[in-house]
Amino acid sequence: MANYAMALEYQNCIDCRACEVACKDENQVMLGADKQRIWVGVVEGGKTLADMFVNFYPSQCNHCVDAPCVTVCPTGASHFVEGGIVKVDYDMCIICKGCMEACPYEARFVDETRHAVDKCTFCDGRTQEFGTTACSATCPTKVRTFGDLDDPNSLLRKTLESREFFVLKEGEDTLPKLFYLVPQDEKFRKRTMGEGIKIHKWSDMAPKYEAATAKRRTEWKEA
Amino acid sequence: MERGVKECCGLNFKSVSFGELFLNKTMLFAYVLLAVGLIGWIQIYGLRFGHDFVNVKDMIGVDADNAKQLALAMKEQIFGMHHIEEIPRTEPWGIFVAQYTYLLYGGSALIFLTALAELFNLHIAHKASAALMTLGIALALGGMTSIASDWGNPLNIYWMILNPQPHSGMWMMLPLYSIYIPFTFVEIYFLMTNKRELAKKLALPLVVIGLGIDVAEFYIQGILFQLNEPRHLWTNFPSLWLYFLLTGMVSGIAFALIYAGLALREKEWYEELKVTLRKAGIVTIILVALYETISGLAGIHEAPFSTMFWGYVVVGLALPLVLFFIKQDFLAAILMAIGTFSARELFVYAGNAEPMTNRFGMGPEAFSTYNVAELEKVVYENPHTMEVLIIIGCVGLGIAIFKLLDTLLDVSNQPH
Repeated sequence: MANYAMALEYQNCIDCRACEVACKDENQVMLGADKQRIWVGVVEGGKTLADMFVNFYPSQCNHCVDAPCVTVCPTGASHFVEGGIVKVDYDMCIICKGCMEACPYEARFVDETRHAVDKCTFCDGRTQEFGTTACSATCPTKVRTFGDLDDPNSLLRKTLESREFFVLKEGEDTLPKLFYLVPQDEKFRKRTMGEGIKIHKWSDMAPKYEAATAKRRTEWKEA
Repeated sequence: MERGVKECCGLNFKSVSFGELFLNKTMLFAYVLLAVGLIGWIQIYGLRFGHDFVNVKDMIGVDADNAKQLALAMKEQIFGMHHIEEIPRTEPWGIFVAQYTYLLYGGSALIFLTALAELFNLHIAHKASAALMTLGIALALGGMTSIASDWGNPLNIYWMILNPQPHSGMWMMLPLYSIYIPFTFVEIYFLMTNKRELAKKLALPLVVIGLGIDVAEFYIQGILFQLNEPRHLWTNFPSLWLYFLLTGMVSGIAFALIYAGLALREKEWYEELKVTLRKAGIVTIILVALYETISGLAGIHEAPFSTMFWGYVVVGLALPLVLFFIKQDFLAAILMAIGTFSARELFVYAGNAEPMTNRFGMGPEAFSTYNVAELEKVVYENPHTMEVLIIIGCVGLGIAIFKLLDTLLDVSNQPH
C-alpha cells in the first residue's frame, strides 16, 4: 500500500497559481479567494530597490502522519484513507471546527456548498488513475514532486534521498508529509528560510516517519 | 399539603395557571432576550442552508434561468466573502464558544460550589442549594445551546453515537453530559423530594459523586482545548481544568448573587446567603489572581486582547474585590459577570491570535511559537451581529428554563 507525500522545490515557484486553478477545477472547490485547498503564500521584503524581494511559499494540507485534526474529530468525519491521506467525510461532518483549530497549517476551511469542512485530498481518485495530483501535473516549473514515500524507486524518495529538506512547524510533532527542499542557491535559501529552521536528510528522518506510519497504518480506511 | 400543590413521584408540583407559568415578569424578560436570539438564529440558518453559494461544478451548464443567481453568488464570494462567510479559516472558534464556556463553566461551577456547601453541611446550603443548582443547570443548558448554534451542520450529530471517537475531547462531551445533566436533576430531585428519609441516606454519596462528576467535567473541558496542539495559549496554560473551575466559580458566584439580589430579597435567609457568597467570592477572586500571576497571561499586550485582559482583571476581579469589602455585593456581582465574559472572550480569541499560515510572513509559517507580544499582526475578527444576537438568546433560554422550573417546583422554597 502506497504512502503518499510531496516534495516542494519552492524555489521554482513563479506564483502563476495554475495549481490553485487546477485544484479548484479538479475537486470542484467552492469559489472564493479564501476557499482554497492549496495556496501560494507571498512574502515581500527589503528596504531599498537594491534589496527588495518577494518570496513564494506554495502550500496545502501536510497530510501529517500523526494528524491532530483526525484525533480531535468527534464524529470520525476526519479520517485516514489508503495512502495515508487525510480526508473528510462530508456526510459525517458537523462543522464543529475542532479540526480547523487543531490543524497547525490552517489547511482547512468551511465549504458552504458542501455544508462541511473541506481540505486537500491529494486528489484521491485522480492519483490512482493518473499517478499524480492536479496541482503537481499542472505546475509549469515542476515545484511539486508527488509520490510514494515507501517506494525507494519513486522519484519522490530519490529526490528526498539526494536533497536536504525541511518541514513546517516541526515542533508540533505531527510528522507532516510536505517536504520543502532546501534551495540550492545560497542567497535565496537565506532569504526564504529565516533563522532556526532545522534542515534534514531523509536517512535521519526515515526511521521516525516509518515507525509512526506503521503505527497509524491500521487506521487507514479504504479510499 | 398546601392548596394548589400536587404531589408526583415525591415532588410537589404547584398548580399554576398558564399566565402564571408563561406570562410572569421574568418570563417576559426572557422572551425579549429569546426574540433577539431568534432574529440571529433565523439569520444564521438562512445563511447556512438558504443562501446561494457556488462552486466550479455549478458554473458548468449555466443557463439563462440561473445565470443571474450564479453571477450574484460568484460576485459575493469573490469580492465580498467577509460579509457572508460565517467562519473564517483564521478564526474557527469565536463568540459562540466564548459564550458556551462562560455559561456552562459558570453554571457547572455554581453546582460544584453548592455541592461543596452541602458536603460541609453549611446551614445556608439547606435553604438555597436546590435553587442554585437549578440556576446552574439552566445556565449550563443555555451554554450548550450556544455551542449547538456554533455547529454548522448539527444534523450529522448522530454520527457521534454511531461512530464513537473516545480520543476526541469533543466526543467525550457526549457521555459526560449524558451523565452530568440527568445526575444534576437527580441531585435537585433529592433536595426537593418529600421522601426525606431516602434523601438523607443518599445525600452524602450523591454529593460526593456529584463533586467527582464536576471535576471530571472540567478536566475533560481542559483536554478539549489542550488537544489543539498548535494553539499554544491553550496548551501552555498550566492545569487548564483548574483555570476553568476557578474562573467558572467567579462567574457562578456572580450569577448566584444577581439571582439572590433580584429574587430572594424577601427571604429571611437572604443576608446569610449573601454573606456566604461574598466570602466565597473573595476567596475565589484571590485564587484566580494567584493563578493568573503564575500562568503569565498578563503578557498579552496586543489590542483587542489587552482590552479583554484588563477588562477581565479590573472589572471582573479587582473592582469586585474592593466592592465586596465595602459590602456592595450586587454591583460586585454584575461587574464579575461582565469581567468573566471578557475572560472567556480573551481565552478563545487569543487562542486563535497567532497567524497559522505563511500568509503574513516567514516566522509563524516555519516556527511553532506563541508570543503575541512579538507578532506584528494578530488575528482577530469581530463577531457577526447575528452571533451576538444568538448569545443574548442563549441567556434568555437559561433564564426561561430556570423560571419554568422554579414556578413549577418552587425550588427557591426548598423544603429542608
